[in-house]
Amino acid sequence: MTRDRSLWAESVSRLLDHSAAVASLAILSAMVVAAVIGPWLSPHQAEVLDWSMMGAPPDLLSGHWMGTDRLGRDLLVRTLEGMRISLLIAVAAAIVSLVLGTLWGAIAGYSGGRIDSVMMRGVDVLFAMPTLFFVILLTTLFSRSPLLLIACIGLTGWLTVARVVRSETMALASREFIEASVACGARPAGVVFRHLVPNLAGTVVTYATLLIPQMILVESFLSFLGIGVQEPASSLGNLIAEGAAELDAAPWMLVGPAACLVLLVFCFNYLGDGLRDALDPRRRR
Amino acid sequence: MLIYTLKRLAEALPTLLVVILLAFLLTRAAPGGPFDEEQAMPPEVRANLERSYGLDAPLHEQFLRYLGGLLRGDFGPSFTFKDYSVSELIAEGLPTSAALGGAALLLAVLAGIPLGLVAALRARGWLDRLAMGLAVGGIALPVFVIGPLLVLVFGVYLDLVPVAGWGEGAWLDRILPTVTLALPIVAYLARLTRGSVLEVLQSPFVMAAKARGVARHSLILRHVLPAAMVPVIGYLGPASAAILTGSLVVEILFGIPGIGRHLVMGALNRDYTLVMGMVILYASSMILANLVADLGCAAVDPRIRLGRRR
Repeated sequence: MTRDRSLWAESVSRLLDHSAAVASLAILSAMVVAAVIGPWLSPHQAEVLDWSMMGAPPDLLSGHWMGTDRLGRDLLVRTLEGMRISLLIAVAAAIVSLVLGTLWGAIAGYSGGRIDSVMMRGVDVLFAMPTLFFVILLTTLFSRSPLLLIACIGLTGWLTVARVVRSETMALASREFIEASVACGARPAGVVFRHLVPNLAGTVVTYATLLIPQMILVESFLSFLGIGVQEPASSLGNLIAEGAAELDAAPWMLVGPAACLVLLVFCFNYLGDGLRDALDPRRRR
Repeated sequence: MLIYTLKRLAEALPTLLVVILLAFLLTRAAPGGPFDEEQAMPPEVRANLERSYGLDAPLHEQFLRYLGGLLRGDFGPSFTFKDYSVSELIAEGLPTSAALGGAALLLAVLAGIPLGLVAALRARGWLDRLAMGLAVGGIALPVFVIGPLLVLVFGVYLDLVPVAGWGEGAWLDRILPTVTLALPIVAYLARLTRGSVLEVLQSPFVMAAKARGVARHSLILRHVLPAAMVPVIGYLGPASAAILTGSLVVEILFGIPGIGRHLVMGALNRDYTLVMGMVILYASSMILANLVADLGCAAVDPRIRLGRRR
C-alpha cells in the first residue's frame, strides 16, 4: 500500500509535533479531571465551615492543602469547584458564540450579494459597539440566572467567528464539490449544512479553543466585579476578588485561584495555536 | 483626508445613536424600578415621583427628551444619589479617571513601542526574550490578577508603595494603579511593534533604501518606523477600550474615586439615568478612540485614504 495518510492522521501527527500544545493538552486534561472529580474525592466540602481553621494558611498536615478562607472553607475544594463553574460557563458561552457565528458567517458567505452585505454590515456595526458594557447592563438589570450570563458572555465572541467563517465559506463555495452538489440539485440550505459546515470543522475547532480562554476571562471579569457568578457558588473570578480583599492577611487566598486562572488561559492559548498550525492546510510545513 | 474624516464621522454618529437607543430601551425594559423599596409606597406618591422624573410620559417622548438633554450636556438627575445630577457625578469623577487612563496609555506607548522596536532590531537577544516573555504573560494575566499581585509584591512584601488609595493624587499613590492598567497594553504593543517592524524590515522599499546607502539610524527612524506604526496606531483604539474596561477593575481595586464604580453600582441600584449616562460616556469614548486611531492610520499610511474599505 502507498503511504497515503488521511487528512486527520496528518493533522494529529502535526499536533503531536507541537510540544507546547501537547503539554498544554496534558495539563488541561489533568485540570479538567481535577475540577470534575476533585471536590468529590476531597474530605472537605466547599460550603462546610471549619471553625477551628478560619483563615488558615496552606498546610499539608491539617488537610487544607491550599489553606482556608475567612469563614474556614477549604480553598482547594472551592478553587476546584470555581474552576468547574468557570469552565462550564466558558465552554457553554463558546458554544453559543460558535453556533451563532458559524451559522451567520456560513449563510452570509454562501448567499453573497445583498444578503451578505446586509448581514456583514450588521456585524460591522456591532463590532463598533462596546459589547462588554452592555453585558454589564444586561446581567445586572435582569435576573442573575446562569443562562443569561452564558448567553451574554457568548454574545461577546461571535462577531469574530462570523467574519472568519464567512471568508472561509467564500473560499469553499467556489470549490468543485460544492458546484457538483449544486449541479446535482441540492438546495442552498442543504449545501450549507451538509457540505459547507462540516468542512469548516477545522476552523471552528481551532476557534473554540481560542474562544474558551477569552470567555473564561470575561466571566472572571464579571464575577470579580460582583455581577457574574453569585455566592455561595464560587468561580475563579469571585475567588480572586475575595483574595484581593484579604491580600495582606491571607495572600494564599489570591495566589491559588489566580494561578489556576492563568494556567488555564495559557494552556488553552497554546493548544489553540497548536491546533491552528495542525488543522490549517495552508500552514503545512 | 478631509473627505475621509467626514465619512468616518458620518459612520460613527449612527453607531452612537444605536448605543444610546439600546441603553435607553434596556434600562426601561428591565424588571424593577428605582422606586422599588422595602416599604411599599402609596400609589399617589409613586405617581407624583414618576411624574417629577418624567417617567409617566410615553416612551418615545421620554427618549426624545433625553436626547435633547444630552445635546445640552444634561444627563438628567440621578435616581439614587439624591440632589445630584448625573452630569455632576461625572464631572466629579471624570478628571480622576481621565488622569489615570491617560497616564496609563502614555506609559503603555512610551514603554511598549520602544521595547518592541528594540526586540525586533535585536531579534533573539536577551531584550527580545524579555519583551516576548512579557508579551506572553500579558495575554494570560488580566488586570484583576496583575493588580492584586503587584500590590502583594510591591505594597505588602516590599512595602515600597501604598496598597490602595488615591490621597488627592499623590504621585506615589498613582504608581501601582497606572502600572497595573498599562501592563497588558505594554505587552500587546511590544509584541505588535516587534512583528510589524520585522515585517517592514523584509519589505522591498527598505532593501532599496539600504542599497542606496541610507545610514542605519535614519533607515530605522525615517523609513522603517513610520511604516511599522500603521498596525500599532490601529491598535490604540482597542487599547483605549482595554483601558476603559480595565479602569473599572483598577478603580475598585485601589479605591480610586473615579467614574468606574458608578457604572457597576448604578446598575445594581437600578439608577436608570446614572447607568445610561455611564454607558453612553464609555461607549462614545470608545467610538471616538477608534475614530482617532483610524484617522491616525490614514495619516501615516497613504494607501488607506485612496483605497476603499477592506
